[in-house]
Amino acid sequence: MDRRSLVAVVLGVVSVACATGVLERGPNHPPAVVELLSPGDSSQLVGVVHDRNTGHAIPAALVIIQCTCLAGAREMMSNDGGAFGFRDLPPGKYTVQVLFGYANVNRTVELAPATRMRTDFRIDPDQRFTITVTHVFDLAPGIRVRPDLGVSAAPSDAFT
Amino acid sequence: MHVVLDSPLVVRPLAAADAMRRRWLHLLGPAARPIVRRRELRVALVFSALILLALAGALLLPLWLLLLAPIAWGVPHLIADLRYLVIRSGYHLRTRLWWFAGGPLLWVAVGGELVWGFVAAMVAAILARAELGRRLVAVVLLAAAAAAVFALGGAGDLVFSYLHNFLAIAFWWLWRPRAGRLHLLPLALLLAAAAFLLSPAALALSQALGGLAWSPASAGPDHQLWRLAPGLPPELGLRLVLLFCFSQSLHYGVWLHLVPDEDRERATPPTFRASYDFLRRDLGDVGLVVAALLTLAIAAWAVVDLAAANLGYFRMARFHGHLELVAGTLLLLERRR
Repeated sequence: MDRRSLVAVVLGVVSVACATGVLERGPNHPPAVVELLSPGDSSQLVGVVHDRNTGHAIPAALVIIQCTCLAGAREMMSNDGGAFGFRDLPPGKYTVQVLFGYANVNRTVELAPATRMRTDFRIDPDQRFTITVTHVFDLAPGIRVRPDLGVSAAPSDAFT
Repeated sequence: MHVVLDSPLVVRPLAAADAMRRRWLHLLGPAARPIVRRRELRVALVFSALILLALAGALLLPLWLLLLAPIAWGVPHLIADLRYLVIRSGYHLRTRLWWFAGGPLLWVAVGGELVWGFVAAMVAAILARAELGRRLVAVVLLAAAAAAVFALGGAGDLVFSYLHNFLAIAFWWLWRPRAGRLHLLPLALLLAAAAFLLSPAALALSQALGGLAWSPASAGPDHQLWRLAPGLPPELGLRLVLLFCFSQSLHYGVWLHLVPDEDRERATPPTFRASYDFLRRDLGDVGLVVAALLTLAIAAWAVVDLAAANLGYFRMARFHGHLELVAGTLLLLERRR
């Protein structure tokens, strides 16, 4: 095979790998977008959950938000269009967690007063990580984890 | 490979298309002669027709066009990008460009930050065969552009994708020295169409025609609004969506028809068979087969799952805007004045 043919084949293989998302690293969520609301309005957190492999919206994904500014966590399921929306939120630093299939994805966002933030998620429902504990550490007085103990866990942004 | 590429299945349709075109030109008689003989006139007319067609498409069915156009013309236009910007320009023979500018471009292609595309263009500027002063000016300008895109974050990438659609038109303009002024006709039409699409009247007209109501299930107006104009007021955002649809269609048209027409030495258009032979000469038999397979694979994927194929195409194409930037930098710096 001559050099030109070799280059063509390599480019073809790289193109296929790119198109199918094999080479994508990390969750690659779209950036959050903030809209200003009228002064005095409470803030909102909205978004759409997509399958990162197909681009399809994911209905029935569990979306949980947590903030020290809230009394407890709030949760809802994404609708048929993959959309979720939390309204009447105080400003603060929120952790948004999306659970669907094997995917468990977290994102931290800062919600300003009187704003609507759209934060979309691109998740891989089939993605599964195994995290192996390699250090001995104390969980609580008297409880220890052995270093040879493998612990399976769902993926999170922190591990991708 | 020859057996496939020379088979009657490939050659006969080309011969039939040539025969049909000959008959059509014969029927048109003397009226067709200036169009065949004068490239300036032909390109001006075809480009103007393309602008009107893209404008009609952007007003009548923008949401379908945004989804289907990349499926139909996306891969062929990537091949045209590589053919005219890399192979025909001879940049593929320069080893240092492969390594030092191709590396960052490959990184962008496999999912790296888009700012690396500007690094590739800066490296290309350094390696260009031009005076040192001009190269340094180019590096400074590209660094400023990269800093602006980096500072804007996601919005910067979006601005770049809007601009890259119009970059194709700049390539067409600069591709060949212009003898007359006929090329100004489509440019004036283009500016008028873009200004119209940005006006409230275009959005009102599109809505009155039902253009935004007719959309694929996976990519309605809301989806395109968030994809192409996130955070902007809906009315302004939808006008930008229309402009993007229009400029995307033109981008494909420029790479697939106008630049090939401008690139030829002879002013008269070649036969379809001759075009096919030129394409084989430029890409090589293996390259042509790979290109055809990629085009067919994206189309077949779209039949199964349109939204996934669209996403797959854009994953595959994410390097090409910066490839155009790299080649544009080299063309501008090495252009004979």
